[in-house]
Amino acid sequence: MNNSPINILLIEDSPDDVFFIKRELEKLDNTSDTVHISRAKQLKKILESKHSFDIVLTDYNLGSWTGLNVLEEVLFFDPLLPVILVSGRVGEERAVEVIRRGARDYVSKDDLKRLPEVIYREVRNAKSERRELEMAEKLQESEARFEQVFRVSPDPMVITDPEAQYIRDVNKAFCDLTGYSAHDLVGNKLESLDRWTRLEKVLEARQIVALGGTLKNRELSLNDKEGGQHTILWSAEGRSESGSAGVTAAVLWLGKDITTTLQMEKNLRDSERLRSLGTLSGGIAHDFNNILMVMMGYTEMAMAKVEEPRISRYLNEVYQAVQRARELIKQILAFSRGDEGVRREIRPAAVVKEVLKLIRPSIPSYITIRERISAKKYIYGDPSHVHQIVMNLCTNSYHAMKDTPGTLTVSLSDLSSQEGDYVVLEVVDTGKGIDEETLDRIFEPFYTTKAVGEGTGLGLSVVHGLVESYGGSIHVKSREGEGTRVIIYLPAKTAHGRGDENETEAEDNPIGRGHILIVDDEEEVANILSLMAGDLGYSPKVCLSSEAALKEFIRAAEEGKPYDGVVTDLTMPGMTGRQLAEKIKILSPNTPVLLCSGYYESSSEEEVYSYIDDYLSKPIEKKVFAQKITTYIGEKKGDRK
Amino acid sequence: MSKRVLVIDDDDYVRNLYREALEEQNFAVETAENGKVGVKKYLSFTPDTVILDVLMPDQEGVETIRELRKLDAAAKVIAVSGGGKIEAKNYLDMMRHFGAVETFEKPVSMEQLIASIEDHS
Repeated sequence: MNNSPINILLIEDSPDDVFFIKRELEKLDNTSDTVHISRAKQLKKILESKHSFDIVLTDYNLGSWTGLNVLEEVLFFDPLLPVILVSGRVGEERAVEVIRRGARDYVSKDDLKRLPEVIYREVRNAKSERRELEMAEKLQESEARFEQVFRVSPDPMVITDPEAQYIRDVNKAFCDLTGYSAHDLVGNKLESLDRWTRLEKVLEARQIVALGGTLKNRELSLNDKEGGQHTILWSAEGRSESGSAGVTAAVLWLGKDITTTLQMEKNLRDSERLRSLGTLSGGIAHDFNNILMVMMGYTEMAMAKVEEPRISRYLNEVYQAVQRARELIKQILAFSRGDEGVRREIRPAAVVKEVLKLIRPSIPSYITIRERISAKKYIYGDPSHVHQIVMNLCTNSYHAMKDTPGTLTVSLSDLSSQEGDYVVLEVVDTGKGIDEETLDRIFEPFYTTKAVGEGTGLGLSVVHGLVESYGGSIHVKSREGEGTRVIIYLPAKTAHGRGDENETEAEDNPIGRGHILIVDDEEEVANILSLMAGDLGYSPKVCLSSEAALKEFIRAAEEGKPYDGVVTDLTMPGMTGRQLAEKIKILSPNTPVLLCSGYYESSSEEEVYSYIDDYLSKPIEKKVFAQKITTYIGEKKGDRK
Repeated sequence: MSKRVLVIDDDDYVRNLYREALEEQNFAVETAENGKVGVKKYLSFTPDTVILDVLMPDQEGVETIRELRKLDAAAKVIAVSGGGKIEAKNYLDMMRHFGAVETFEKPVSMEQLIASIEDHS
């Protein structure tokens, strides 16, 4: 039975009846608490007070109120609070009316002994009603939550029947991915969707779910509406025999699209691979070329001596292999270094012509080469980069036309558009073309369709990297069996050759002021540096040895006209540039010293830095000279105003 | 009298190759494993031609060619480079700048190299 106390509200205006009712209520097992009010007017107040009631007992006739009014008031306050009409003779009709309006029972005052039983029953019923209502609310809430998750989840989701046959619902993410609307899909069979990349895998997964099994991160890939493949991991739980009965009226398929993650992981792996390749290749290229050199040299010597044709042929194979290794090293170096090259204003037309002249002999006569070069514009770049771009593209085209006669057309033209001026390079072949899947990957490093030993898979990545570093763009159009067209846009220099930002910056450099000492044992070099410094606004003085320079430096300081900076060569007979720099720094630590060198070892860089402010690599470009010298020598930008 | 060739290269195997290939063609050959030794041998051996590797750890080829040319403005230096931190071509540009009569990227065919020595001596 019910063990918790029952709180009763009794509304009764007859003291006698109160007495009799209370006597019955005392028979309840519990230490029940009864609050009695005699006037219905007090009802609202007591309901809203801190008392909470499990049940209300009311008389019918209550002065100006009736039991109906009480009922209405109580149910308004709490629709689940049970109300029992406890009344004298009110007549069948009225009793029925009150019950019809929501009272739980009618107990006649002649039959009060029924009361405890009625109270127990109704309190119990009310409790279970409340529980049900709460559960219903919770369910509704959880459904709403699920609905929200289902709707807004970025992961694709599908709901099927327990047999995993028919699609019952799909979420927005799934629709976005497949390009179908829910309307298109709902009601159809799961396998009737034409986006699955491997139908047999879907059928297999369906089977598992239908048999009550569980899928966890099972890969079922989908094509999106553009045909791009998405790798999706699906999880779903089938209805198991022992599972909560009746709950699984449907199966939720949760997808996780990991395409981007996979791609990112791959990119990361590639870039790590390239970085280590770069570090490695710089280090081994020199040694490797020495090894190849030895192999090549002795092979050559052997070939010159051998008379047996078979051995001669074998040696020739070795020789060819060495050539291939050499090319491979070159490509890897070019790719991993990603070096800036020496960029200047160049006319790509000249370079392209040169490359075509160079490759003509290596291309079989059944391939016609058409040259359409009309570009007059300049670009800012390194000729060897342009060389590499054209060479790699032509090599690819030639390979694509290897087996059949065809035409290779190389055009170079100027293009002026709203976005700017470009030099457009087009390399078109009539070869076998590139299929779609390959087209997606052609710029990936190490991706190659050529046989092992024929290509490194670096050629187009190098081209791509170079074009990007020039701020240009590359487009590849191809159709299988018809040929391929590669179009490259390289930003052109504007009419006066002042389009480049770096150069503008150089022009804007503060003009130098002050006395500088230029030290080089080669008079010609010293004079050129002196001229450059003079152009920048400095007053230069040339010394042809460190010893002379040191004397001059001390003399000027003693006369109160100290030098504002020193530019010295590294290698000189007698005192070297480094020794001179050291002495000058001891005499005058704040005087900037720039060291010119044909080449310096990076290992000694740090040691040297303590008394050298910066380096200039020979041959010295005027632009670099201007930038460095004005940075260190003369008035600082901030002091000028 | 046979022509004299001084080979300066830090790689033992490469030096041996040069020596064998050149001696076979009746050149008199001396070798040095670095620039410093090379400069000394230049003075004692007085070669007609020098084959100089550009990137050597002890004394950079660039420093070496400048010293050789200072000692003898007419020194005929053929520069060879296997590349390294920068492209071989860039080292070789520098070498031409400092007076190399011809430059080659490693690996170079001995036939070509010998032809070059014949041309310049």
